[in-house]
Amino acid sequence: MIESLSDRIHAALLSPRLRQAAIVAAALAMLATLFGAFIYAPADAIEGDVQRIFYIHVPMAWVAYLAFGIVAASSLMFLWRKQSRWDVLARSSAEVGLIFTTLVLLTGAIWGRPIWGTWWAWDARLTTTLILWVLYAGYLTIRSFVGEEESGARFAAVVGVLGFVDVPIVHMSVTWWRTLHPQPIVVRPLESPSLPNEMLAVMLVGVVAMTLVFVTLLALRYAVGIADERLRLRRRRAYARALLATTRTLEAANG
Amino acid sequence: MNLDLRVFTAILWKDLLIEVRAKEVLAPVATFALLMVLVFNFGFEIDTGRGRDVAPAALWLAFILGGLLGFGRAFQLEREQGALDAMLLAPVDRSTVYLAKLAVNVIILLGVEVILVPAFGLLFDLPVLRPGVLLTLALGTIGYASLGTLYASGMANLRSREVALPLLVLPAMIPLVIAVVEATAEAMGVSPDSGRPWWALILAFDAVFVVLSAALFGSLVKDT
Repeated sequence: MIESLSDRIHAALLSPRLRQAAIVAAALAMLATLFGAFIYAPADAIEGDVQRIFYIHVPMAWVAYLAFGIVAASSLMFLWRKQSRWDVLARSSAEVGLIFTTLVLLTGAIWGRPIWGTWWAWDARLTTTLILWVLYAGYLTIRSFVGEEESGARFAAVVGVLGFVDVPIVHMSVTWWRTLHPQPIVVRPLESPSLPNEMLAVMLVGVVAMTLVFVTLLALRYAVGIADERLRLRRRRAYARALLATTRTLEAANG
Repeated sequence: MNLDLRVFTAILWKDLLIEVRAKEVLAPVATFALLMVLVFNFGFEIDTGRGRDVAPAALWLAFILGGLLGFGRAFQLEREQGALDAMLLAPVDRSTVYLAKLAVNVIILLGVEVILVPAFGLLFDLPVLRPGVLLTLALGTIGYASLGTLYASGMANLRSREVALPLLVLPAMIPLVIAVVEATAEAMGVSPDSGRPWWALILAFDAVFVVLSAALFGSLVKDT
């Protein structure tokens, strides 16, 4: 059951037709989000137009967590099933996830500057996101160090699992730590009394759009990774063949 | 996971014997940590009233940075002449091997603390010998060593492990660092009691990472 399901997941990620469909769907959903964010949704009563960045900021944060969840799940599958395609998927998801985490931090800072009066505040949610960024930046750095060996891939998988397990502990510790120290006075959009329906609708469209963008990028990166893997395999085979041919020639020459 | 006590004590005994004879980890790490404390004092002036707030953080940072050197060194010894490979040839439970390695690292790090902590207390006239401080040190060391042991063994064959080890260990242990620094500060009386159950957080961290590392160690070192 699991095997056929995972075969289907990997086949879907590699299917060119699905990829084209995902690109078109992502583009349309992004256009809808932009329309919603800039035209349909009303300006925020307190924050004004600045608040509109929220419609891409929050969906990107969701995608970042989704991506790192996929890293952990694929890493577990790799350790269990020992198929390199899971390793490729984990790596691809970590790369795309790190890009989204970077964008979350940047869009947050752009919002924070006019609203909080500062680019950065050591608030629990921001700090957790920053630590998340450092965790997966470390993960990808290690991936580039360990090279292509299988033992390196296993090590990366272990790091991928432990990193994700760490996230809730990080969040809890940072929350406790932050409440001990003076906090900046902030306006938190998520905790405002209620979100008008139009705003909520646009944000949901944004979540769908951003997830589609993520899936598209993930599929593209995954396809590159799989092609890489195949190329390496072919090279290895060609090398083995050449070695064999040379040995035979030498043997023939020696009689 | 079925803990084989005979294997556990055999590895523990072997490694401690090597450490006692070669003195390759404890002495340099303790010296380095003391040196860090010294350098911190020039930057933060821990000896004056204002700097006392950062004393617990300085103590832990000195210890953590020293420990990173120790893990790297321990696994370099493991790699020389394929010692780790030879040990893994034995048909024994991998989790036991990990737990033994962890115990060795914890004992050596506690040895570092035996030198570092009283010296720290003397230099800055801080009450380091309180039960709360000692318990925090012991529990924090277990959590730290669980990550360090696992990641260092995964990197035994890596060329750039001196850089790579901190890159992985430090971000992952941020929650532990927060908890132990706050708990130490409260136990020393440097900062007021926050009422937060920091020990629960440290214990949770220890439990999660010791169990997970023991479970994952097998797939990490397999046929390397």
